This record gives sequence, structure tokens and C-alpha cells, in this order.
Amino acid sequence: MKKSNYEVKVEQFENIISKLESGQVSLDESVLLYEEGIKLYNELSSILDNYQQKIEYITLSNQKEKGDQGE
Amino acid sequence: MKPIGITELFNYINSLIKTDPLLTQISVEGEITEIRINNQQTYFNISDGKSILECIIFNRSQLSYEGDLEVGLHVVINGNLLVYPKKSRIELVVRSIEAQGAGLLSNKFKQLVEDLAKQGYFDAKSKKKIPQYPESIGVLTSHRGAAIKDILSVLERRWPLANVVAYHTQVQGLHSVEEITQGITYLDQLSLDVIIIARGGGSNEDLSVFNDKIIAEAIFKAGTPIISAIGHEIDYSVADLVADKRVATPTEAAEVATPLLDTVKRDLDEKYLRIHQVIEERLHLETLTSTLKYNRFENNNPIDQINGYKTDLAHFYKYLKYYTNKIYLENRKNIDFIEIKLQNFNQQKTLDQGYTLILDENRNIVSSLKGLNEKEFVYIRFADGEGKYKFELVDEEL
Repeated sequence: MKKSNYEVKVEQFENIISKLESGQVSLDESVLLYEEGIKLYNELSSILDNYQQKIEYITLSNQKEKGDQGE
Repeated sequence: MKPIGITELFNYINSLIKTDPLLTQISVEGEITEIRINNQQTYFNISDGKSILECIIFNRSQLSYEGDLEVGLHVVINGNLLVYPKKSRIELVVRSIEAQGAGLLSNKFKQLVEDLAKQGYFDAKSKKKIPQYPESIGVLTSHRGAAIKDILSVLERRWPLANVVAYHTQVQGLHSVEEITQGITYLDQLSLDVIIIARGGGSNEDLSVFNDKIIAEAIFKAGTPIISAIGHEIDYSVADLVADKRVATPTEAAEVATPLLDTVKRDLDEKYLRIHQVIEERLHLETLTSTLKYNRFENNNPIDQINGYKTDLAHFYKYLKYYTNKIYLENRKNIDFIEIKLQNFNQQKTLDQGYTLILDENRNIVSSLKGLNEKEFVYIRFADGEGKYKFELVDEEL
């Protein structure tokens, strides 16, 4: 199953936090992870802030006709 | 001819039915395909596979039939026909029911379910996971029913981020199986995150169209996770069983397909706090550790040792100076003594050769003429001793 962009990013964000919380990374690495985490947070926030629901209606013309008769 | 009102028309039709002996006391057989219960009233459809007849029980408690009504049951119903003016619909008002066991449609349904089950169509392991944060959602339903409105309004409220592709298909009629299958295949090839298949929501729609093997195959083969909202709690279709997730209503389908934006935002904010907290704790810990390390380092500072060495060295220096001086003084004394001895020895040698020494009253050696004339006496030393002599100048030598 393909994962959405948001899902992938939020997973990466969660992984970074878990890594940081485990304390198993060096200080240098943890600062890099933090930077990366904040970057992801900003991206995720902007995705959520950017509402863009678009509705596309697909109706094949012959099907529409049949539909008109059928229902 | 003078036009008449619609209500008058229905009143006329109903009056005709009431006077027709067959229609007022009719016995019809068929298989129950759908049941809806609303307070005292029970609505259900019976079908012979081609046509559907709506039946209504106004008061269940007044009915002699004790058994459960269920989909697939073959029944014989006695009652009278009625045209329902508000919906322009013919209904059979039930007076008595006689159950005949499982019907043909039901047997066909059971056979299909069994076949598909054998082929693994319902296996939990082949169910695809419904994504948590869909970016694109396909909706396959009739655009006339309430379902599409319900779904779109839920999507708009819960998760306005996703793009929605609404595919219109009729869900009843001759070509509906073909159209539904086409719709599933079409939406699947768009690589959407999830597809919702819903019935239009009209109460007169039959779900038996979704009991088709071709539709089941299309759902099973689709790469996109599919949520079905075709049947309801007591009545479901084969498509519901094959779908990755089955829900009772179109609204529920839209809810299952999407997260609530507010919750997602709250989760994200919590994560933001966590990442801040964890880095702050880490930095605090590192500061503490480095302070402890510094303290350990400081505690082992070599300055004390150096100061110790310095004190030792100063002592040593003093000691060295004292003893060196002492040795020097001792040697000095010896040398002075030897020197005096040596001097005396040299003097004696000179005196032995016949030289004399003239000393003044203080026994200092007189080595110059100057002042000598004033002297009254001098000491003269010879090799064999000295004596005191009166001194007088006779003639001064130039």
C-alpha cells in the first residue's frame, strides 16, 4: 500500500522523536535530528494549514445517460 | 377532459384496488432481500430475482407470525395492496406471513460466499490497511442519493486536505454491475489513497446488485484500499465482505477514511512539545555531565602538586645555601691560616738571606722613607730575632 506524503512525514517525525527519547544518539546527532524534526514539523503544519480539498466529478457521458434512465 | 389532482388520482386508484377481490386479498411469494425497522413498523422487500415488491407491517405485535424475519427467507405473504401517494409507490400491507425456508436467491448468495471464501477473498491477510492520512479519496456512488452529500460533508468537516474524486454510477438496473465494476477499476488506476463504495441511500435501492462475482473480483483485485458502505448491520452484500473495511453508513465510511483534522493538529503539537522537551532535557543533561566532568578535572588540577614541589624546592635551596656557605667559610679559614703560614715562611726565607725588616711602633712593616724621620724608634727584625732600636737620621740620601 502506498503511503501518503503526510503519513510518511509524520512517521519520520515520530521516529526522530523516538530516537531522541531513547538517548542512544550522540549529542551532535541529536542536534541534527532536532533540526530535521523541526523542519518536518513546519512542513506538516503547512500541509494541515493549506486546506485544499478539491472535488472532481467523474461521469462518463454514456454512463450518465444510462444513469438517468436507470434510476 | 378535465385534469384531476394527484391526490384525487391516488384516491381513485386505491378505491379501484379496494374493490378488486384479488388485490384486496392477495397471496404473494418471494424472498426477503432487505429489512428496515422503524418503531412499530417493519418494512421489507421481497423479490423473485427479477422484480421487487415492498411490504409493510404496520404493527408487528398484531401479526400472528412469531419467527424472525431475515434476509434470504422465502416467504408467502397475505395482504392487500396499497398505493402510497407520497412516494408514488405500491406496497403490500402484510396481514400474515408464512415462512418457506431459505430461498433460491439466498442459496445463490450462500454459494457465492462459500466459493469466494474458498478462494481467500475474505481472508484477513489480504485486507489492505486503510491509510491514516489520505491525500486523495475516491467515492463510487450515485450522485443523486443522500450518500454523496453525506460523504462530502463529512470529508469537508473532518479532513479538508484530501482531493476527492466522485465517480457517479447507477446502483440499480441492467448495466449497474458493469458500471460499478468499471468505476472500481477506473478509480483504482488513479492510485488514490482510499476508495469508498456507497449505495445512494435511497430506500428503494436494492443491494443485491452488489452480490455479484464480477464486482467482488474487481474489489479483491484493486490495489487501493476499499471501504464499503453498501449493506447495513443486519443486511450485507458480498461486496461488503470482500472490501478491506465494511461500515454501515456512507457517513461512517467517510469517518473511517479520514482522521479528524483537529486531532491531527493536536497530535502534531504534542509531538512538537515532545521534541522540544527531549532536546532540552538532553542539553540539560549534557551540561550537567560536562559540569561534573569539569569538577573532576578541576579536582585533579596539578597546581597543588606543583606548589608542593615548589615548597620542597625552596627548602632544598635554603639548605643548599646554608651548607655551601658553611663549607665555604670552613675552607676559607683553612686557606687564611695556610696563607699566613706561607707568608711567614716566605718572610723567614728572605731574612735568612740577610735582609731585615723595619717595623714601626705598631709593628707594621715600614716600606717607605716617608714619615720615617719623625720616628723615635723602630723595630728591626733579623733572621734570628728582633730588637728595638733608637732611630736618628744622619744624612738624607737624595
